[in-house]
Amino acid sequence: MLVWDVLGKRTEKDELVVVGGVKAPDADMALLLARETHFRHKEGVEYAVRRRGDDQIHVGRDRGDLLGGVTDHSYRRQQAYTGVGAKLKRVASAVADQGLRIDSPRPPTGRAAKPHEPAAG
Amino acid sequence: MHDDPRTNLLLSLADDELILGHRHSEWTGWAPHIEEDLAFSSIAQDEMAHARLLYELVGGDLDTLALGRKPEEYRNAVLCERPNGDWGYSVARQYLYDTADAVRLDALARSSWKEVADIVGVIRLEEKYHVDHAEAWFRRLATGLMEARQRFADGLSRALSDAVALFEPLPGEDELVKDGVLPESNEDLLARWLEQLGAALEEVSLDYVFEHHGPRGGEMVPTSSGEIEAESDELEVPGIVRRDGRWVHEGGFGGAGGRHGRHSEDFEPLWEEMTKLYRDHPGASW
Repeated sequence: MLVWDVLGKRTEKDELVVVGGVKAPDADMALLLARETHFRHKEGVEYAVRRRGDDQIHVGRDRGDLLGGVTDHSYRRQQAYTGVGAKLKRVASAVADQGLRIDSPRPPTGRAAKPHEPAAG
Repeated sequence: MHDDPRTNLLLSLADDELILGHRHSEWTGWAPHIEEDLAFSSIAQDEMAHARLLYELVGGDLDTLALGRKPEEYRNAVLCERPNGDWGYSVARQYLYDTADAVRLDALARSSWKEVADIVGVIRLEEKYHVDHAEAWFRRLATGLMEARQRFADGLSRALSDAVALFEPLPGEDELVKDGVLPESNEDLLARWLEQLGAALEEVSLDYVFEHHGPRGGEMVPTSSGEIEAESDELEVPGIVRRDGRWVHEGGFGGAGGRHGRHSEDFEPLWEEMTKLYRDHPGASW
């Protein structure tokens, strides 16, 4: 299997830059796998592959809004803990209205750490 | 059981996508290499998104439609529910399904039912990716090393009779054709697909699978000499014959029944797993 650099252009104003790599037996398969592995979450508007060590670039057929699919796959985006802080504030405010608190101090770490003690009250 | 032909049409299309999407998703983490893990997973999730679009047109709660029906209420073709088997079978099945689906969607894009035509227009944009993927693997396996070609041919053989039943006539189909909801009958769509499929297989000298498909193994039958002999394991294709230089469908379907809620023994284990969380916690939201 050959190694191919995957190139992508995030917006129309950008240049094609290396965004990753795939292994594939030929350029057609490399383009197909590059699209499937690197551009299915709307990561860019154009893609290409280049056999590692070569200069020739093979540009993918799909572009723009059609690149990456058209149905709603927003649930697939990895958002990690985005928005958790704001959500904590909203929940803390809501439970505070009931006379409860969930904002206890962070426990000490490292050498200062002690076995966990349940919160008083 | 739904008696409305339009609902049956939508459920057939949507259930095909949902059930096959579920089978494709079972390859996640198990595909031959990581790029295919991602590609097959993407295809699986596209299929589920397409199912959702079609269920929205049926109306009612989407989760109930997808996960809350009894096994006999699903209208998918039997091809979709078969276990994945090896990579050769899965790729063969993906190729047969997505090329057949392309023929079906091409017709439905001209449907007199505007909402269906609009949804199909969106679906086709993504299904093009699936056909690209299937055709890329088709070329590589069919013209590749001996083992790859043989496994792919075996996969085609095992999947073909079930695949033909993708075009099993729907309940109430005459009405759908008369109203232009289904611009062409399933028999006409099947003829078109077989012509394309035949040409593709002939190009790589794999058209013999038309003659040798179905489960391998013969019956032990007594002969006039009193001995017991095994029948040849080359089975006649139920319904596909060559006439005037073309592959055409005649007679029945090997893997029929799905459009009427009659499924194989493979469906219930899939249904159990797919719907378990929903049945254990009905009405739950995330």
